[in-house]
Order: sequence, then C-alpha cells, then structure tokens
Amino acid sequence: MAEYNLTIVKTEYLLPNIVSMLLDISAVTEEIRPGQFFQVTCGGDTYLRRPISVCDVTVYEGHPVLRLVLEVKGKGTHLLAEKKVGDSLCVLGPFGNGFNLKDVKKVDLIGGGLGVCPLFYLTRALLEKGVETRVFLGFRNQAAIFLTEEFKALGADVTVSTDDGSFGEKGYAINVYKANYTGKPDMLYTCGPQVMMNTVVAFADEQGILYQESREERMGCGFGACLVCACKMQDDSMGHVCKDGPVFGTGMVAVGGKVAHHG
Amino acid sequence: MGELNLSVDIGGLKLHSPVIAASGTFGFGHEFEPYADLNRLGGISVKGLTLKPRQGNPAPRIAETAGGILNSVGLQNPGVEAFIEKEIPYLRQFKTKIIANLAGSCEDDYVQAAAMLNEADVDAVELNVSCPNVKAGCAAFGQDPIALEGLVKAVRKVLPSKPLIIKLTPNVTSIAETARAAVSGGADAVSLINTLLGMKIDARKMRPVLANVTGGMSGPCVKPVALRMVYEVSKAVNVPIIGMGGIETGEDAAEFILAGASAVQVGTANLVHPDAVTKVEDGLIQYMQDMKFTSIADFRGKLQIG
Repeated sequence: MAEYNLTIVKTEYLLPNIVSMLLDISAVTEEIRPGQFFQVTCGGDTYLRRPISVCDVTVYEGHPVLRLVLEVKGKGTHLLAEKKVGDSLCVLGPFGNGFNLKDVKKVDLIGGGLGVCPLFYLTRALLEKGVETRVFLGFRNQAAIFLTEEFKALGADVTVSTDDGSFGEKGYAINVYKANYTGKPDMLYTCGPQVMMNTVVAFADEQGILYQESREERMGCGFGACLVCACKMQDDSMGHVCKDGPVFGTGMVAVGGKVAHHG
Repeated sequence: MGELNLSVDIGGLKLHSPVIAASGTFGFGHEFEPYADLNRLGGISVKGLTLKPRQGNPAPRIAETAGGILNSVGLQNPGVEAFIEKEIPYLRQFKTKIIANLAGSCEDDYVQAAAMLNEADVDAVELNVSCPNVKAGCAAFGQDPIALEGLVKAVRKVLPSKPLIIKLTPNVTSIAETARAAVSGGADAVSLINTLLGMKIDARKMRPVLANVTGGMSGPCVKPVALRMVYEVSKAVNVPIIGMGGIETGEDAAEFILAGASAVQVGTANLVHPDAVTKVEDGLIQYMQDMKFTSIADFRGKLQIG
C-alpha cells in the first residue's frame, strides 16, 4: 500500500449515475486482489478520501489498468465523475484483506446493486483458476442494471434478477438464489446492501455453507488508524471494516455487527 | 548560520523534534510505519487510553464537513494494561517519545490508570480531560476549573516521575482559566485544542449523520480557533504549550509556534495523508531555513502585534 497518482485512461457512464474509470497502474508493483479497495482523493472542498472497491484489474491498450466503478451520489463522487481522460487521481491503497479464493472448486456469488462491482474482479479471478462459478446479480429494476453483460462475457454462469420483475427473474437476489439452489457450494461470496447480505448469511448459516461477505461502513482513513468503521465481532472484540475486512467469513461478525448504544 | 536545532523541552519531556502525532489519529503507530519514518517524530501521543477497555460508540462515527471532519469514536481502546503489555514494546523500537494519552470517567479511574503509567515505560502522560464523545466525566473535568485542578492534583500525586501534560478542551468560555487551573494542579505542560463539539444533519433524512448525534470537529476548519486559544493560553500560563488544530504543513506548525507553542501535534491530517507528520517537519525545517531561525526558541511566541 502506498500513495499513487494514477492517470485516467478511460471514463464511461454505465448508467446515468454509474461511472466506470480505467486508471493506468504501470507504476504499481504490488498485487491488487479482488475485494480490496482504494482511498481516492476527490478534490474540491472534500476533506476525506472516498473508499472505492476494485472492480477489475485488466489490460487496456497495452497498459495494466485498475477499474473503479462508482455511484455518483454525494459531493465527492460528483467531483470524481467530472474527471477526464488524462487527469490523474491521487489514491492510497490497495487496502483491505480481499476475498479468499483458496481451496474452492465450485462457488456461488450473490451481488446486489453497486455490490456487484467487487464481485466482477472476483469472478474473473475465480474463472482464471478454473473454479466453477455461478453468479446471481440482483437489481431494483431494469433501469438499475449494469455490468451484467460483462459478467457474461467473462464466461460465468450469470442469473440476473430484479426486485420488481422488470427484467430477468423476479424477486430479491436471495430468493432467486434459493429457487436455483443446487446444493452446497464450497463458498458463497456476497456483496451488496447489508440487508441483502444478512439474508444471504442467514441462508448460508442455515444450510451450513461457508460464506464471505464484503461489508460496507462509513470510513475515515481506510487503513486502520481512526477506528471509525467499527464492526462488532462474535468474540466481542472490535473489528474494523477497512483493515480486518472488508471481507468477513463465516462466524466472524456478531449478529448485526453493530456496536450497541451504551450509557 | 548555526546548525538547525529542532529539539524542545516540554516540561521535562525532551523531544528531538517539536512535531508529535496527535492522539486518536495515529493509533499506536503501526498503521503509519509504511508511510512515515517514525524515528523522525518527536513523540507519539497514543490513542486515548482508559483504565478498562472500551468498545466505543455506535457507527456512523464520522462525518465530513467543509475543511474537516466530525468524529464520535468514543475512546475505543484496549485499556491501559494491554497498552503497557503489547504496545510499548512496539513503540520502543523507534527513536520517538511515547506519550500516553489517558482518559477516564471518574477521578478514581484516572488515578488508578495514572499510577500504572507511572511505573510503565512511557515518557509522559497527556491527560485527556476533553473528549466530547463519552457521556460521563471526561469533558466535564475539562470544563470546570475547580474539578480540573482537583483531578490534576490527584493524578500528580500518583505520577511523580513523568511529565504531566493536560489536554484542554476548546468547549469552554475561557480556556485561559482552565489552563491556569491545570497549572495550579501541577501540570508540567498543556496541549490544545481537543475537538470542537459539533453536529451534522442530513436534511433529507431529517436525522443527525453521527449515531452519537454530536461529535468532535477537527481539521483545517478549526485552525483559527486553535491559534487564538494557544495565543490566549500563552499569555495566561508559564508552562510549555503543545499547539494543535488543523495543522497540515510546516507553515501551519510555525503559526502555532509564533502564537506561543513550544511543540505541535498533527492529528486529522494523518487520516488523509499518512505521511503528514514528516511533511510537517520537512516544511517546518524549510520555514526555519527561509527565516534564518536556528532553534524553535528563535521564533516561539515572537508574534509581532501592532
């Protein structure tokens, strides 16, 4: 992990509120793993960097590139969306533990909304290892769907669903997964809204499936110093999403994962 | 021109550099080792310690504001005992002074923990009487001069052999008055400012952004308040002052020294620039060379007015 100034080589709107950026990482020598994230300086009058998960590491026009896909939501992401090809982004990272891909032969992935982004690089890495990979991608409605064709182009077995049935199968991602359940995978990977992941974790626990969930919490530094992104662990210790996560495995996080209000 | 000498003496705490990492923004140093040479730091004021471990407040614990942040971490820490056992040996690898930042919710807690620190291998104790994020005690001591003097006296009694620094809160009418109370109680130095109590509201959700409702504001946005307070305290007491509040550059540090500080702490900047402490020191050296100063004393409190 280090500070890098990375040049933007491509930007693209995947949806009116979803921007994809490719950054030249020729200068980055360290490995960037699926499930990790970078802290990105947004400029303007923002103060904190924004944590953005790694969507992909690939090659573009002969250069190694990092792909970041972000939702344009607040002040910081609006500023990032205005960046142009040739501009550079000041980033710190890569941070976080990332997904564990060891000892798996057959896996299922469940992603929801923006949470599909880190699963993209994970899918690529799993397929490269020859892992049998089924991907379930859920969105609110047809207008919210992005990246699904690219998942298919990777060669994964992809099932797309929408909550309202306006595209693909109808229903929440977990219900679509249950309807297509074919027995225990070696690992169930999930990333999406916490309410969605809670349903995935509950099902995994019920079936005795090992899982890895990539959690989100509001962060300060991103590297374990400020103790802002606290998450309560099952052994009652305090974990931090940025450093101990963002990926947590079976039985690590306490139910709900929240620190209780105290007197 | 003589050789540049950055060393300072903070009430018996001898630092080879006036740049210190501020408590709560630097953990116990581990996370910064990849970015900054910890040997260059005058000292590290460690994450605020309490007698017993604390889990801290519910999340969200941070909110951004123009030029800074609000936090409500709530003193999450492993407790004094675990600090002594696990963190001191790590920190001792570096040529930097260990400042144990100590918080509490009642006098007994402070006294018990201070007695443990008196026996421990730390170079100084910074008494945190100003954390705005814990419900009981802490900030109340820092806001009441009489209670503060009593607390400092009680801690001084069990901490005879370490420099004692009192970290002051800006959330008072007269910081000069609380500074005087700290000195009357036996403080060797004062440090200021801790965070300014603030709030952020999400109008669309009609809710506070922080789960704790209020939090401590820090970052460049508090620097003018901090400078004014350091200036006021320097007129009120004769002990050394450690100034802090939004320092990001060497020039910022120089402003605090001109206002009367003998040393500075760099806090919030560490969270966005993990090499901030060394950058501040580089910038301070540059400033001193440009201004032809060879020691901190050459310009400490030398603000020219009128």
